[in-house]
Amino acid sequence: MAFDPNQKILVVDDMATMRKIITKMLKKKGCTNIVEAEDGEQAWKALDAADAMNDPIKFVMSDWNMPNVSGLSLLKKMKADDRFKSTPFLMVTAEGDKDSVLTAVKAGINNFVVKPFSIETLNSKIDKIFAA
Amino acid sequence: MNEFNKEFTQFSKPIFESLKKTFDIMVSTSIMPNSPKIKEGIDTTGDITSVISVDGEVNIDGTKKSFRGHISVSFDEIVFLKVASKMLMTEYTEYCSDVADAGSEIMNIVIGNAKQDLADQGYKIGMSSPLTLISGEKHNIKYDKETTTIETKIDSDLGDFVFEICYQNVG
Repeated sequence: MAFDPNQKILVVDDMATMRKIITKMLKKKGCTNIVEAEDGEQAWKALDAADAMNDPIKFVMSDWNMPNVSGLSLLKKMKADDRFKSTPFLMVTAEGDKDSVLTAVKAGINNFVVKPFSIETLNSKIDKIFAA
Repeated sequence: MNEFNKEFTQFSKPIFESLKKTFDIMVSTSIMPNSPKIKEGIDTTGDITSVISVDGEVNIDGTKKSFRGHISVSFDEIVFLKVASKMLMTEYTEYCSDVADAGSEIMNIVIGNAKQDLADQGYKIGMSSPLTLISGEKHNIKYDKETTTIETKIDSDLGDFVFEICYQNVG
């Protein structure tokens, strides 16, 4: 499955700055259809709404540590729902320790990127997900 | 070097390394810290300051102690806008909601990234660290009286800013 820059992508982070950085990086990669959410709760609503309109989100990039519903909780909820369990999920985290990564891998992430990251690192992580 | 100074140095080193790395990667800018000094008074030097709390527990040589700390970065508005513009890859000439949390995100990344190195030295910091944004001329930060705060002027191509680390053993 090759990466399609026109597919709908969901960027989830409680910090507006990080959402803007990731969106900018995705736009530089040629992405045109990017939706933003401030936490896991908003993200779930966006996933649900897009699916209901028959225009599903095809890739989720989410921060881990957020208020209300965390990135990990969002991932677990997606994995438990037939509509979203196959949607590729890239976890964005400030903490790259072994325990955190293992927890996220067990929950079903497709890849993770540790902040701070460059555009080259992000592109490489995305390409690996879609090359798998 | 007394025990507290040794702890402070151990605690500060990974944070400074993380700050340098964060600026290198996310702001595409090299920073050059000047010599740190003990802060006198409570005034900040910048117009926009982001503060993050770093409470936790330290285990040194088998002895467990709680610690409390804050880390802050304070920019003049013109430097803040240059930093935010580089980070966001968009030119900003006025402070606005688009850039407001740029300093806080830097602090978030700095402490998140330093956590593993701090953990290797026995410092365990919780997952969630509250962030505070303060803006306006001549604002101040009232740390607890017993705390020691080290302030460091940081030089960069985008302008100077001030980085503070406040640390206190709480038993």
